[in-house]
Amino acid sequence: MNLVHHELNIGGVYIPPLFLAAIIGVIMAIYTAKLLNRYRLSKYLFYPPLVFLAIAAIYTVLLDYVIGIF
Amino acid sequence: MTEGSESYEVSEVRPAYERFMEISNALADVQNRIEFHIEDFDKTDIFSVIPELAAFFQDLEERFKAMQHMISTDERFEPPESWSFTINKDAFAKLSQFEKASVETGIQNLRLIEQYTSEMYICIMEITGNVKLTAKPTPSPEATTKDWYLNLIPYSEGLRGGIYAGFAVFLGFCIYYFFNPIGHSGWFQLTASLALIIAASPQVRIAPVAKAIAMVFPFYMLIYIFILPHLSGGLQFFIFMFLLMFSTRFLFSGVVQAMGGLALVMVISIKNPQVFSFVGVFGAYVFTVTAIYFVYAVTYLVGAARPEKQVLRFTRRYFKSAKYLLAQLANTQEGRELGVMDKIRLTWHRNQVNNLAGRISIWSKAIDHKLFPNVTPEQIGTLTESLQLITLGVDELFASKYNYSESSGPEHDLRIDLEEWNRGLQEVFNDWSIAPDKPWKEGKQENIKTWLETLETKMQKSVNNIADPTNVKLDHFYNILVSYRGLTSAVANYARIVPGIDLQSWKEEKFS
Repeated sequence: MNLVHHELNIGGVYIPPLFLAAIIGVIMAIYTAKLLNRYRLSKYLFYPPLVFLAIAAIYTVLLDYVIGIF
Repeated sequence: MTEGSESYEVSEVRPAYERFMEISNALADVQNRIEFHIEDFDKTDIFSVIPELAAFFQDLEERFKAMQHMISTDERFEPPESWSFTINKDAFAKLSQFEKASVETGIQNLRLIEQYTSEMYICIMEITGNVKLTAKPTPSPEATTKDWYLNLIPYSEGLRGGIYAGFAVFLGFCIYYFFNPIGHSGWFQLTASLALIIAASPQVRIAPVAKAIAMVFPFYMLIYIFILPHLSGGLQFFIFMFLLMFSTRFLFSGVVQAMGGLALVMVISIKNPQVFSFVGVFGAYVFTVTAIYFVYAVTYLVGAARPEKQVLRFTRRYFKSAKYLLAQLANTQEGRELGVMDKIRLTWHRNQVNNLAGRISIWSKAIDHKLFPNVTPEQIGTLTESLQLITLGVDELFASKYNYSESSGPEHDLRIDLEEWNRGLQEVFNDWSIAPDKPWKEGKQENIKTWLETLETKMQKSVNNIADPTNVKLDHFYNILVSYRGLTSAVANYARIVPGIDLQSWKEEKFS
């Protein structure tokens, strides 16, 4: 299995896969936050902005790993 | 007015313009104070107590008309004559002590209005070249007695904004230094510019701006890549640019329109000779959008994206400062001298009380009402208005500068009554500094009314016991009596409004 990531070449601009993973990670974190708000689960959190950052970071790392596999 | 931007004629009368602005602000303050106490005159026939009042109002109207006339026609007018207000003693004697107090304070405010409008009048004469002022305007008493170091006390939000901007720039610099991604040194340059803008108005919502730029930028990129290289000659280019700018203004509105204009200028960079580079423009797009979202993320982390929390925080802090001020007022009434640290703390808390009501009003406009459907913008409006009334009350109480040192007699009794009043208000401010929606006197208006009436009766007795009713100190007493009463009615107003607002929903943690 090749875990060395390749940069994405968009018309000569090289985008790191982590950047792509971060964008998708943040979008997924936004929807997770919306779900938590909808079911009023966010009231159990101490400081939602930090939790949002943590969720986005977890998604980013997971996605980066998945991108690495493919 | 920006230094150097005015003509020579304007520059010559600049001090008069500045003085006019100062007087206008002072006049607005007095008007607010009069409005604040207008209910006190509900049961008093004020026109019979102050016989010249109707004529004075007439004169005021004429003064303003003359000022308007002077500005538009440069016609010469004589300076206005000054007024002295006399009281109809028979009508005054029939009033209760509190009504007398209100009349005395009202007359003081009328004198100030008379003085300020006269000064405004003379300022306009100076501006229009009708008279040359030789005497310098008298500075306000507060300005002359204020220690120099008190001007150095920072405003809490300014301090917070500075720390935020510094933090954002530091992070931007770290990104540039450790990763050096697309945009390079722009990471701390653009971050610094954006962070400073946000530090000045932290309530501005950045997410819609970032979203707009992320959406419109690709549109101009497509034009840049596919259409612009096919244009030949300046004429075609200029016509196309005109159409593009016109359609941006015509098709979009609000933030998208503003960002569209910005993106257009950024994407279609004109060079001689003109070169087209996809790499350059795509890199600029990735960098700009990422940098704006990065600044947004920093703002989000420090909690600025949750305006309802800021409003609650400011309200708590507001009452904490108001409580401190009342406690300090009680100390000065006991004749205690203020040390340097006390003066610094006092100025800090006065700044807080004077500024926070306005800040709360600004932040409350940024609240997303879809997230809090139980709290309407009208309710928040009345809440902020009631806080502004409390600010006026606290400010007036300080302006009355009451200081009694008698240790016995009716004046001492009055001081004891005032202290009781002060303690009652301190208690409620303390409660609200912890929970701004806590009910006062079990949330019953009758309890508040009874408390106020008991205090008023006690004070009325003490004032009646003063042997010499023409005592100069009585005037000061009247001032402070009216101030306490005004402040209490403002506090009662807040206590009446706040239980109807679902502040509990703001306390609940939510993603914004």
